[in-house]
Amino acid sequence: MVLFFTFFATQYSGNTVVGYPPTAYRLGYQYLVSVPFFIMIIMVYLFFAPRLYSLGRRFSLLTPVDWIDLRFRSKRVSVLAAILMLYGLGNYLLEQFVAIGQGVSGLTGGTIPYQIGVIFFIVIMVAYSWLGGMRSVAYTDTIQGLALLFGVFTLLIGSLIYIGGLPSAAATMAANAPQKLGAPTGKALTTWFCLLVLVGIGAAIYPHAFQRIFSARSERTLKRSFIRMAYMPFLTAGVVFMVGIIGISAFPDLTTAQSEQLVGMLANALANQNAFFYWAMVLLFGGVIAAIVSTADSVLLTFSSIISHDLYGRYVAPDASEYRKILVGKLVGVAAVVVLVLIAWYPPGTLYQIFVLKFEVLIQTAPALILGLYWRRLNTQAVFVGMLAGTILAAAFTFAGYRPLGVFSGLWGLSLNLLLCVAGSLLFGASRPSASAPKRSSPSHRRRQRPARSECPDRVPPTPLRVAYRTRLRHWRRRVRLNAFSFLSPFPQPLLAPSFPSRSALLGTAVPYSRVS
Amino acid sequence: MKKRITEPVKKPAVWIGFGVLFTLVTPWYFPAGSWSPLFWGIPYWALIIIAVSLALSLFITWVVLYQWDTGADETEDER
Repeated sequence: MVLFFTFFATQYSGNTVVGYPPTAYRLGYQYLVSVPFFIMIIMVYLFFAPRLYSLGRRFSLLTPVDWIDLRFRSKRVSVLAAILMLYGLGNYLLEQFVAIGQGVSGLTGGTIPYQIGVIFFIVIMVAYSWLGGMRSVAYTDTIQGLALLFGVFTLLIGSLIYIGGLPSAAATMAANAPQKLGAPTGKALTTWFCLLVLVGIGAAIYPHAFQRIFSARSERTLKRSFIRMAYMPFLTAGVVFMVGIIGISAFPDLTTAQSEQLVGMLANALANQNAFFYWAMVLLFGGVIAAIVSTADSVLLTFSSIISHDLYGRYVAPDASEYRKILVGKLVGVAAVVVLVLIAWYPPGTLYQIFVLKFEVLIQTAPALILGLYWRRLNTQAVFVGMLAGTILAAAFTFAGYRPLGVFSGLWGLSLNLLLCVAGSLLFGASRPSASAPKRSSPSHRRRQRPARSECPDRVPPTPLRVAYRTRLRHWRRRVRLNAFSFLSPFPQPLLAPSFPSRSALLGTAVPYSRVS
Repeated sequence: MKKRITEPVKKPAVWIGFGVLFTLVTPWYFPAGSWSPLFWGIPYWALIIIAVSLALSLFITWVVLYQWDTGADETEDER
């Protein structure tokens, strides 16, 4: 049951609750795409997660950049991919800040302005991380999931009772805006298709989601979570979509900017009905704030770990102490939050635009991450050129507002990216032996890899030292997961990524078996 | 005995299934802008999309349960 709420809370990021209903309000049934695109994410996962998980096990991978580095052995590719991921994560954080500002402002009918909402959130986030610590994670996830589940369903039921159900919303749409009710055509249909592809691939390769594949306890756990997540969208995206549709009959003539505060306005309208709804809405917003804080915290953790582990620790100062690496990661993370707050002060567009812009860039890392798993001839230079060209094209099209054939700029960028990757690899072949996919034939990889059972079925049973190593690795992964909440801990100990003894250090020492087993 | 490793990406049935469901989950096959009849205030085409989405979820469950076994956990299980 706790696991169920954890998943529930994971998928219900604050933005899902606050940002999706306004979009459904503006687009009508054309935003029904939000249900299948969440399912698409799992579909995309199934094409790469199985192999990636077993590689992660074999090579003790932690971050997506770990994988890119292992696969391509190229500083340029790794750094570029890390920068694109940092951009995507930064954008994701920004989205959460804006969501809470809009939510609080809408709930209080503008009494608390948007900017104060953002500041309020930052204060809560710092206090939460400061006081929370590791032990509270499991409880907070459950309570947060319960609050959200209860709050969102009460919001839906209350809206159905007091505002009118889907039939009255349909009547309003049929009279005022039949395009919101009709099957999408032309540009709307292309948008539907683009969102399916863009979100399906983009959200699957989110660095913090990607890390969850590596940190899964076992293949069985991973499978179970995928199955649950395949049905979750009906309860999460489906419910908030209905809230947005009901909003059409409740507040028929909102401008785009006003509609951003739809959830707050609906909740406000319900809270005025009676004490039960009042407290249910308080609970809903408590859940939303908790969801945003936990999402923001884990995103910040991934952000800092990419800085400390992948950029600073790998390329800038590989010899720096673990503490120093983590400190650098934390400080850059805090600096990024400051910059994002400045941007969130005057949000660049509606939540929907921020959302798409994030995937436009993030999706450019997909060929390196996914194609690299299966195609051994994939050329490192081609990947780099493709990623760079795809990003530039996507950014240029986005800023110019240019959308040929109605297709999103990120998909044009991805097409160019893929074309360059494939053409470059076919023309020039694999760049060098060590850069091929980490298969058995590569000598440099054979040294690093732990022999898989499938390769040597009659291998000796695991020694106690090996078992001790696996156990410690598992504990360490768990600590990294739990530490999501101690990102802003005032204590200087390296909580963020506790140092893990290297395999050789552990297996090479002459510790008597009796002491470790 | 060496265990058979199965990955969804190598199964033609998985590609075909996802291809078909992806095609159906994009509402290109409805008459432009049509919404009648409504069921409980929901346009007919939206109900069909929801049904196809559910089929996609069911297909994903089948793929996860029967088409994915890389044996990555075997070393763990031996303990």
